[in-house]
Amino acid sequence: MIFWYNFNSRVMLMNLPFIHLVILYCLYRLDGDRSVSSIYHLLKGKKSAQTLQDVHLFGLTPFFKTYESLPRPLLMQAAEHLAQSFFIVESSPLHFQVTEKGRKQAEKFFDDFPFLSYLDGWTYQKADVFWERLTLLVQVVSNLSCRETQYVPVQKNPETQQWVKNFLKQKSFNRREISRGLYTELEEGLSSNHLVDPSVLVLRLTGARHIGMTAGQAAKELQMEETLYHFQFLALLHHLMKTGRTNRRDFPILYELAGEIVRPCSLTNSAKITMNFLRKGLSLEEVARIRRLKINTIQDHIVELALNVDGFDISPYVSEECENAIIAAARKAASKQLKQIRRYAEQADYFQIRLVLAKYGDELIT
Amino acid sequence: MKIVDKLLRDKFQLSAFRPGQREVITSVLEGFHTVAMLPTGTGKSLCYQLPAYVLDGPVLIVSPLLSLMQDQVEQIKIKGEKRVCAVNSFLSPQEKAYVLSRLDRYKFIFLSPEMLHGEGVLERLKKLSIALFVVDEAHCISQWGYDFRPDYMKLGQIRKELGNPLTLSLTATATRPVINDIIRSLQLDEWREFIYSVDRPNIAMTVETFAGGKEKRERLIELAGSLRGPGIIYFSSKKMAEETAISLREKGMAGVEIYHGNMDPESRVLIQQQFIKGQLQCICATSAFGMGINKENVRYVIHFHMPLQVESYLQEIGRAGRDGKESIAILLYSPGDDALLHQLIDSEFPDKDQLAYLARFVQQVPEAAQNLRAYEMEICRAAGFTETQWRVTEDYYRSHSFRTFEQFLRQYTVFIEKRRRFKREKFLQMKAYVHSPLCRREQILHYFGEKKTQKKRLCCDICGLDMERYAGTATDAAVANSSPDWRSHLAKIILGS
Ligand SMILES: [Zn+2]
Repeated sequence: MIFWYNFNSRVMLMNLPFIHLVILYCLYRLDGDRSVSSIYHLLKGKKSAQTLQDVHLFGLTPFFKTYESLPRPLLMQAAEHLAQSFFIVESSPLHFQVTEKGRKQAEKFFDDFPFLSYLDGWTYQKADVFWERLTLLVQVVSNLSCRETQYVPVQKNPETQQWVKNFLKQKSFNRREISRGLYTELEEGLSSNHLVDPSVLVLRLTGARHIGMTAGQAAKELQMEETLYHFQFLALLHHLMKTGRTNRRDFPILYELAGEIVRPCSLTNSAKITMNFLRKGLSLEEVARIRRLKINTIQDHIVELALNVDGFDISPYVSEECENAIIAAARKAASKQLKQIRRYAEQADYFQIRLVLAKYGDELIT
Repeated sequence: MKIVDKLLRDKFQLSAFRPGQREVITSVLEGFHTVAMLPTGTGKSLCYQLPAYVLDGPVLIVSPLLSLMQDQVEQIKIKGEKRVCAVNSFLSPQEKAYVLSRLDRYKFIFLSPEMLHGEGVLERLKKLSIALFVVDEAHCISQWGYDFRPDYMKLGQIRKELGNPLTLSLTATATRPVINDIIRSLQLDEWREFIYSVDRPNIAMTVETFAGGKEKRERLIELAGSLRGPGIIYFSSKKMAEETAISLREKGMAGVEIYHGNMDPESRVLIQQQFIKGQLQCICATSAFGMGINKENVRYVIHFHMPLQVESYLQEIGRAGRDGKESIAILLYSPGDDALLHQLIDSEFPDKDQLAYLARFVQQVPEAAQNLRAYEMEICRAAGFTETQWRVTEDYYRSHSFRTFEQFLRQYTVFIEKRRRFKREKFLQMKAYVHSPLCRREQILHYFGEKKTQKKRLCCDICGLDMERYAGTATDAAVANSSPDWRSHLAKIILGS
């Protein structure tokens, strides 16, 4: 047990809420002059071309959409606090650069908090849906086995209620089977994790005779700072979703719960329209003219497509020769800063550099 | 056995009617338009739910509060009834079209009043043969009701268009002028009235006055620590509710939680249910707490801030003692509260500046004058409207007709002034309750046009009350007893062992 509280005491020693460390880490990965709003959008899971690009180019997929309820003032507070502690400096209004002290802190973030290795916000964007289904299923199953028929469902979302209804109908399990199965899968799924105290999740569950805790109550019960609790909870959800998705035979219920919700197509609508035009053989300029959008905007769409559509062909926009030059330049610059790369590949424009970075993503610079 | 008793037992799993329920249900089943005032906590909704299973055809329920409506729909579903729907602004256009297209399949149709103005809704309703037309919270019809909804004024007209269906009007808090208004607005020609006393004899009432906020806070902490729970403490501000909960916890009190309207939906359900199931002792809440909460054994209700009108106070203390056992309602007052409460009254309506901003916005975007709702976001930002201010403005705009936007603004300004004055008067009456040397119960009864008929032993602080009676630490069975081992906790939840 002592082990679990270690994470917590580490944060307490530094007297920083966990979310501040997350923000510091994101600033560090974004590598340079970035406005704090880009982090806001990232944590909220905004699907703009810019955010999607940040997520992929700078290896921030774990944190995508991991704090949807983040209030803007909290973010500003965090930035101020980090600046006061000299982890970052404000280079221009709302733009921050990570200091040497901040860099050292950020570099050991994943070592300090190993549970972060479970966190995969990009793949499990709909962890909230998974949680709604899971808690409601647990409650329904628990009441079934206690033969209780009158109770207030903990989830009000009609889609979730319908899903659980359908799930139970199509499975036509008997009472004992389903509750046994659900218990076993959760017990094994939670035991297979060695990085988060399973109580983080179990305390939140509601059954026939016991109402579960809210996030705030569970954090208090475990004596955990609230944002640290939030991220551990989410990491555990991602772990369970992954367990279900990768081992259907042993975890048939978790598989269904995580079901079709793993990584939906995350293109913006506008990018989808652009994609349809491109597929009909129109050029970038033609699409811009027809859609009455700026060339820049269409370029953003194309970068977004390169990031999200497997096997998207970038050759109409970058020659092979140019592509190779950019790859070499990126390695030389050892940075994903477009400006740095361009210094070594002057024939390429920013659009082309972004496209190549999008295509190769993290494998380019390690 | 009579059919109503059989239904009560089989369908609703209840052993006996509460005062008034049988009379109202019988009147409805005998085919009389019925006007009923039943005190809070006596289960008004049974009065239309039970007849629904005797009468042929759907029951239409007009209900003003979205949260209350959702709650009632849920309560009906829990009893195993699937033929229930709610037509309100929560529905997306597709959902609304879907529900409207199959309206004839439902037994219970809940409707928020503004939906009646939507195109097509009334037409659809006309095609049904409505068995019972229910107006819930009927005091909203009256300008003299503390919660007047302009939309409700048209219900009489709508009743007519629906072919004068059998009508049941329900309220828990209405003075005589309000009841007269209800009857007039609904254009009932003949009706039966069932007006029950608002008195809840098992709830004792006291008021304590303090010179300053600090003394009042100290007294609250003392009370919460010594009264027999479970209990509810009401605040006008979310911040005070939070601070108090924290100090109570620091004093070592277990099972204290906060409840307010800004919590996420999951937490709301959890806290409510924890309270109902006895996992909590004390809720520090804003007025958002309590709607549709049926907990039998609430032992005390404390008001740290007084409500803005006697009707609300009665409704809120009515959440105590539904099991009929001794309970207490305590109101704490210090003169410093007045400023906050006045501010609450004022902020319910937009002020002159805000209306000027609204006017300017419409000048710049003339299309908005045709359809305010389409510009909700922009208008709220431009004029700095709160949610309530927007709702009141939009309600008024929608339910009246105007030739020009200037005319709307003029009329609306007059309306606001009138409502504000009215609310201030209501507040003065509430304050009179605090300051008066008369028996508290007598005052409340007088307010609703009743007379106190008998002297009670446990009445109020004026008549003399021994607070020791309500002290004690005995609580609900189990205040959160979390198990240290997650595996056994998980097993307990899922397997029940
Ligand atoms: Zn008295």
